[in-house]
Amino acid sequence: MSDNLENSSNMGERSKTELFVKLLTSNHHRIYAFILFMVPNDSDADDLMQETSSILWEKFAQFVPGTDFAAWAMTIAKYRVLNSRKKKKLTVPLSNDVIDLLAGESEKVLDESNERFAALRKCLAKLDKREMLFVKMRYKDGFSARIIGQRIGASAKVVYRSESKIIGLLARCIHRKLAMEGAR
Amino acid sequence: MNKYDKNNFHDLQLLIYDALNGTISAERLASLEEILRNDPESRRYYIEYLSAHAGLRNIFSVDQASDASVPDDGFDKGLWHDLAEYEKSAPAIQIEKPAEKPVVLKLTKPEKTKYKVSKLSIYSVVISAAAILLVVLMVIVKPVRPTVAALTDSMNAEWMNVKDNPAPGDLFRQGDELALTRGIAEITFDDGAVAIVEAPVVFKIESPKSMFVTAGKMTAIVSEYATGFTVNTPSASIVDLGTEFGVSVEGDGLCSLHMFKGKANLISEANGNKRTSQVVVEYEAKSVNFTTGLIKDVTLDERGFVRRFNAENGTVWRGQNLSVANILAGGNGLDFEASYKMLSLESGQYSGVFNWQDRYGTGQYTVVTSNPYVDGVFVPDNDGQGAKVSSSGHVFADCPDTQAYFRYDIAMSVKIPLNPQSYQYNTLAPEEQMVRLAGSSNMPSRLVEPAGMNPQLNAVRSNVLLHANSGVTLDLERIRSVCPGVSITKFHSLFGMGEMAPEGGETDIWILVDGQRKFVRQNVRKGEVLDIEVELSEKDRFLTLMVTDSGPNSNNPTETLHANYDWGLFVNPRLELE
Repeated sequence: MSDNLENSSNMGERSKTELFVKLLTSNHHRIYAFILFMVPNDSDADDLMQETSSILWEKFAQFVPGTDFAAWAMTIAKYRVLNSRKKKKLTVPLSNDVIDLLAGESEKVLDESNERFAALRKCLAKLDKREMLFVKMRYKDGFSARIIGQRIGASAKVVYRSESKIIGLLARCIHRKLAMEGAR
Repeated sequence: MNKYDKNNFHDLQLLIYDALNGTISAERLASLEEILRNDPESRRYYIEYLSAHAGLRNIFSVDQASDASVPDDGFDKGLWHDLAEYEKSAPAIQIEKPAEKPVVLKLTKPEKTKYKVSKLSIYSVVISAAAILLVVLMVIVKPVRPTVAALTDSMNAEWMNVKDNPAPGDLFRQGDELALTRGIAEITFDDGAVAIVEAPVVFKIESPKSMFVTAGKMTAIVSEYATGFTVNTPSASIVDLGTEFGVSVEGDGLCSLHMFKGKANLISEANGNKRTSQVVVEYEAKSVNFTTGLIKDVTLDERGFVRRFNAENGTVWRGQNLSVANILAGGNGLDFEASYKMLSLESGQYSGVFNWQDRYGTGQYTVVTSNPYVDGVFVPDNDGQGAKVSSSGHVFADCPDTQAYFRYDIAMSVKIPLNPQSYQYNTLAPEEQMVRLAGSSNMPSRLVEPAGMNPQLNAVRSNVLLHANSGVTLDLERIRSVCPGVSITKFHSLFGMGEMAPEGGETDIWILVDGQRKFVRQNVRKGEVLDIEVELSEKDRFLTLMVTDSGPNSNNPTETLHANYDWGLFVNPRLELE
C-alpha cells in the first residue's frame, strides 16, 4: 500500500459515506453489467447488485481511496455470484466454467462503458418509430409484453420477440460504431 | 463481412432474452451454455447484447413515471393503426413445440429448485401446444415494476444515476435504486409511510410498504394506518409498529435504529446466524452488527436525523426545540444561539444599538413587520380597558395597572464581560454598561445569567432581556410553518433577575396564550430562579411574554419608578416540539 493513500477507515463517517455513494454511483453501471454477464437474468442481477452494494459498504473500510473501486467491487461481485450459485439462489444459473469465461472476457466491454453509452444513444436515434415505442414502453414505462401488445394491438409474443430483436439491433449498431471509431 | 454485419445471432439473442426474463427452460439454458462455452464470437455477442440491455436500463431507469408513461388519451392513433397493420402482415408466429423434456417456466423468482418438477406437472404442461402458449403468455404478462412511491418533497436534492433530477410529484417504481448525493428528499409510499432521506444515502424502493437502505441515513414516519412499513438494511429489518424512527447504515455494515416515537420490531438478519428480534420502544436505540448479528443498546441520537423539512423556507428540523431568543432575534428558532439584537418597544423595529432613554408607553400595540414569527410588542398597562396583546385584538383584561414606564428595549443574547469588576463605571448604570459592552466582540464575554445560577465561562445559552415594563407576542401559527407536521407542545424557560442588576428590584412575570393568563409570578426578586413551563395546544395562536413592575402605580414622574432594577431575564426560552 502506498504511504500517501489513506485507508477509508480513517475517514469521518459522513465523508466516508459521501465517498462511498460517489464511488458506488459512478461505477454502478459497470458493476451491474459485470454481474449481468455472469447472471443473465434481470431479477437475479438486481438481487446480486443490492447484495454486492451492501457488502461493499460493509467492507468499505478495507478500500483504499485512489485505487480502482470498480475492480475491487467486481472481485467481490464475482464472489457473491459464485456464492449465490452454490446456494442455488439463481433463477438462471450458468456453470462455473462459463461464468469464469464470461467474467474473463468482459473487461474490454466494461472498459468501454462510456463509449458504449454514447454509441447507444446514437443508435437509439436510428430506431424507427415503432422500435422506439417498444423500447420506451419496455424500459421507460416498465410495461410487460402483454400490456404493450394490448396498447398497440399486437400479440404478446410478437412484442416479446420484437424486444429481443431490437436489443440485438442496438448491440450490433454499437459494435459497428465502436469499430468505426477504432478504425479512424 | 463478419457475423455482426447481419443477424446471425437470432437464436442466441432469443436464448439470452428468455434468460433475462426468467422464461428459459433447463434445456435451452443448457444450449446457451454450450454455445457460450464453445464459440468465442457468440460469447462476445452475448456480452455485447447484455451490455446494450444494461445500457437501456440505465438510460431509461428512474425516469419520472408520470412523465414516462404513455397516456391512453395521448396515444398516437396513426401509429396504433400502423402497428395494427404491421401485426396483420407480421410473419406467422411459430409456437414453440414442446421440448422432449418439459418447459418449466417461472412466474416469480423465489423457488430455488425450479428445475425439479413433478412428473404430474410435466404431463400437464405437455398436454397441448395451447397450454404451452398459455403459460408463455402468463410469464410474459407478469406486471413489470409498478409505481409504488412518489417523491413528495425535496430540498437542494441532487441524485446520481438518474437522468433528470426527480421533482416533487414524480413517481418511483418498485426496484428503483436511488442515490441522493446532496440535500434532502421526502418519499411517500403507496401504503402511506413517509421516508425522509438525507444525502449521502443509497437506497432502493422495494414495494409499496418497504425499502432497502444500503448506506446512509433515513427517517421513517409511519402513521397508524400505515403500520407494518419495513426498512430493510444489510444487517437488519425494522418493521414498524406505528411510529417514527431513524435508521443509519454505517460502514462496516453496522445498522442502528433510533426510536423517536412509538415502537418497532428490530430483526437481526446477520450472515447465516439465527435471526433474533426485539421490540424497540420510544427513546431507545439499538445497533445490529452485520457479521455477528448481535443487537446492543446505543445512545439515542436525538439530533442526528432529519425529522421534517420545509423546502419553501429552507428549514430543517432534526428534533431540536425552537429557541425563542433566536426567533426574537430574527431567526427561525432552529439555531440555538441568538444574535445580539434589540427590538424597539416603540417602533417594533430591530437595531444593534441599545436605547436607554426614559420613556412611557402609549397604550398602543405595535406590530412587528420585519419578523414573521413575532406578532408585536407593547408596554403593558391597564387604564380600565385591559391591554391589547395581539394584532388580532386579543386583550388581557387582568393586565396590571403599571407606571407604563420603560427604559430598555427588548434585548436578545445579552453578553457581559467576563469580569464585571472591570467595567468602566462612570455615568452609566451598570446594566447599561453591560449591554453596551456586549457588542464588543474582542472582549471575553459570556451570556448574562440570572442571579442565583452559577456563572459559567462561555456558557452556551440564549437569553432574552425583558426589563419592566415590556411585552412581546409570538405568532405560533407562523412558527409552526418552520416545521410542518410537528406540534408545539410547551413553552419552557428559566427566569430570573439579571445577575448584575442592583439589589432592590422586584418584578412580575406573566405568560399569556391568546390573551389568557397561563402563568404568573409576582414580586420576583434577585436571586430567585423560576422554571416556567406552559403547555400549548395546536389551537393556540399567540404566546405573550410580559414583565411588569411591582408596586403602587402612578404616572407621576416624581414618584419612585418601580421598574428600576427589574431586569427580567429569560434563559434558554424555548418552544418544545413533538
